[in-house]
Amino acid sequence: MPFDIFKRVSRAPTNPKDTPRSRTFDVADLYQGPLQSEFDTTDTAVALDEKLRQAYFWVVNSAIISPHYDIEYNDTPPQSFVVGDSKRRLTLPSAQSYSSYVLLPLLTFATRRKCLFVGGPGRGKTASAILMGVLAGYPVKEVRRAMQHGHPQMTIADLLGNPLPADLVGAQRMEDIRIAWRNWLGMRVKIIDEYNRIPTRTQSALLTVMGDNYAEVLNHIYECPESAWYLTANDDQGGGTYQVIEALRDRIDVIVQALAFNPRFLSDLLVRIEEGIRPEEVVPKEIVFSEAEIDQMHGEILQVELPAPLRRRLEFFTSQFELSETAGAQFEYMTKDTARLSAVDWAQLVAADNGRDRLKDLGCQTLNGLSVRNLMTLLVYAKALAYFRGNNSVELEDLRQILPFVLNDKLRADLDAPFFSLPQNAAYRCDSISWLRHLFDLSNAEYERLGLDQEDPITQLEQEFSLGLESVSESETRTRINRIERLVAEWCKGRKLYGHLYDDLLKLKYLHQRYTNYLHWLRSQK
Amino acid sequence: MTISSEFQEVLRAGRPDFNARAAEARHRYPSFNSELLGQFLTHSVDPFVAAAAPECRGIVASAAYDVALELVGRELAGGHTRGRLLDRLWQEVLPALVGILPAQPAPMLCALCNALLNLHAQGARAEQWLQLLLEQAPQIRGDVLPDIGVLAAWRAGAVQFRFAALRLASAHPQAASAILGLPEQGELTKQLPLLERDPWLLNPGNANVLGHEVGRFTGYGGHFPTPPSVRACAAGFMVKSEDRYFLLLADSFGALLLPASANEYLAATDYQAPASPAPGLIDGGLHTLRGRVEHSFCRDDLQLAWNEHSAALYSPYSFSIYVVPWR
Repeated sequence: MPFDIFKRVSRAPTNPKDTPRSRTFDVADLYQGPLQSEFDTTDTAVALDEKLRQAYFWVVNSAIISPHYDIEYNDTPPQSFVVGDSKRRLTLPSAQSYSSYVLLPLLTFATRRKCLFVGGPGRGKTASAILMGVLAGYPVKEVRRAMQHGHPQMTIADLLGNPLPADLVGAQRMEDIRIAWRNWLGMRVKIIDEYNRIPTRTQSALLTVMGDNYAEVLNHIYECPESAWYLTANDDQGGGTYQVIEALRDRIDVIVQALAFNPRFLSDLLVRIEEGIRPEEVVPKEIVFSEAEIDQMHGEILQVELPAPLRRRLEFFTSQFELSETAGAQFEYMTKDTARLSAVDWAQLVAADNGRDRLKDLGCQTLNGLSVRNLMTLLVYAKALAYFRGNNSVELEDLRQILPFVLNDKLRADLDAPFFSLPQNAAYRCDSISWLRHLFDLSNAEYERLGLDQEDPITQLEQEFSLGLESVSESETRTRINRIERLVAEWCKGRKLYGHLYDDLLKLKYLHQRYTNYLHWLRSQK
Repeated sequence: MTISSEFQEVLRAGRPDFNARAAEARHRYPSFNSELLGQFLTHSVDPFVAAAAPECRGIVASAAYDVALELVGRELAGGHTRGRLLDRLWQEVLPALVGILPAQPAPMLCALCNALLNLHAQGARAEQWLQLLLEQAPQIRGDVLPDIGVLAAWRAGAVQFRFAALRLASAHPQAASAILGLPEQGELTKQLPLLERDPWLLNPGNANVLGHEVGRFTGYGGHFPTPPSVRACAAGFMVKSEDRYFLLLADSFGALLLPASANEYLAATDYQAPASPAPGLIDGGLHTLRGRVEHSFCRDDLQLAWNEHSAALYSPYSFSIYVVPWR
């Protein structure tokens, strides 16, 4: 039958680029067109980024009704309209834009990381997760059976597997007990439905699998393959039957929210009911990825370049948040982490910190800083987004768009901060995605105001240091040490301490120490 | 007009299945017009099905019905120019070809519809293509039908297929001779290198080809939002009009514009046009090795670009480009 409503995959390039095209005209060019003919070149190998985009467009057009283009790209200034009493802005993007609810799970699939779906019941969280399993080449039934449903009675044995009863009775040693491991542990897409209903003890077992990629029962180890994880929760507050343990929450790489259904798309639901079609059962084979393809795609994503100026902006953004001047007496310990470990009342610490402009300082908006894991996740997803868009290097907009989904629930807002009490910022109290994006915009504005793209003494010193110390003379080493000391003196003179300055000073201290050690070594050689 | 008894018989036999397919098409295409489907089946598909041999009429009708659903669903069929071309394909050409279509004819039917739509969209002479196919129908075999289609497409002005068609011409010398006016086999082998080199060497219908005028203002359905600027390149000419870029190809059978990119337009800067001999503008007139060429452009600020064989005349006061052979 030529009419497979749900099986159409985009045949045109999903993100056409202005690349030189071949001008050799083929006979098939005459016969290809809107109607499918035998001249269609469907069997030619599709680049994996194109295949990923085809998968995205199939999911977004045929499978998941998610007409929310919240990841906006513009190549020319977009049309934008102010609407409502609250003067919210509706933007009509001028370039290809995406729905986070579909895109983020796909990027998770490509990078084999961990994605949490949040949202009310019946929003398609589980269906989306199942689709990802099908994209990895598993039959729908197998994906459904392998899905772990969180419930209050769930035990570690339910989750990981049982020792064989006969071995339990007859075995003389632990090694003799064979374990019947659960099948889902060996799959490349793992789905945990309603993970916030899993009891705390079982959550710990899950943490080992999620964090370290192995399962342990009675001293027996099962090494899991690299896999993409999809977890669902009815809200992202760790609610449900059990509180989600902090470490488990921290293992989640991105959080996507299932946005509300737009009733203007009810006719699409009607077609599904009338035709008796479930999208996950009719995934076109053209967008199913083999294991080798997923491996290759992952490798290609990691090869995407993150340009140094962009990395510098991310460094600047990150350095805004960790400083807590009142939390430590020694310079290195003046961090929010020190305050958190000491369990001192946060409000007291904040009250003592009266030196800075608390509205201007971005660090005052958060309760914590960014962890290494957060940053690594951010870099991987930024690369994945650039790859998905068919680019070889990450752009600022990629970083800007992906950052809120990675840092959501990781960089926590201090809702008592003066920033949130301003009427125009009230919405940011609830909408953490927009707040995080705004935070990044503010950081970029500050970065540009300071002209760090044009002149950044630390970068110059870094570049000098990265050339190596071999054959650097004693006098040259002294010159460099003097330069660092002058810079530190200059920066400390009468300036307020902000996050980025704090990190810069620590970096200068690091360089100073490396040169000092080298100087000692040089002297010892004489 | 009523439907033929042959088609009626097939439709009656498979009524539930045909109805289900139509219902599915209505779901798939939001603007599906059932009335138009009825008309297209009656006026266009019916002659084709009726011409099929009784033993394969069921398969032919089923395939034709599916293609008709898609053509109607995509709003390709109808009373517009494109629709009228499709009507002629189904009413005249396909009945003549029905005997040589493959056992599963749907892909070939789709391919022929696509070809017709492509030629029309690119500004080639789709009517002429249909006529050439109709004339060749009694002589051709099913397996060479696509090749004959390409030869006819070139003859009808799809100049991008010149090299492909010349390669096919040596495989189908009789058809090439009939369609393109090429010499018979022995001579053709000798002439192929020359024909590949010079796009204006062929002389269709022994008429002296003067040139082709291409492009129009977008407001009148053309390609150019502003008067175009032209740069010569080896393949033809790169054309820029506001933020749109085109490759202009021309030969003795026609000229057409294909989408191009800014990079290709920029790359054309490096092209070195022959310096001597070369065409030139004297007192607003175009002078070539073939003599003075008359044109309808305003003589002020007239511009000229040329490559190995063709010269393109354009003006800041016109939305057209006039391409002529100059050697």
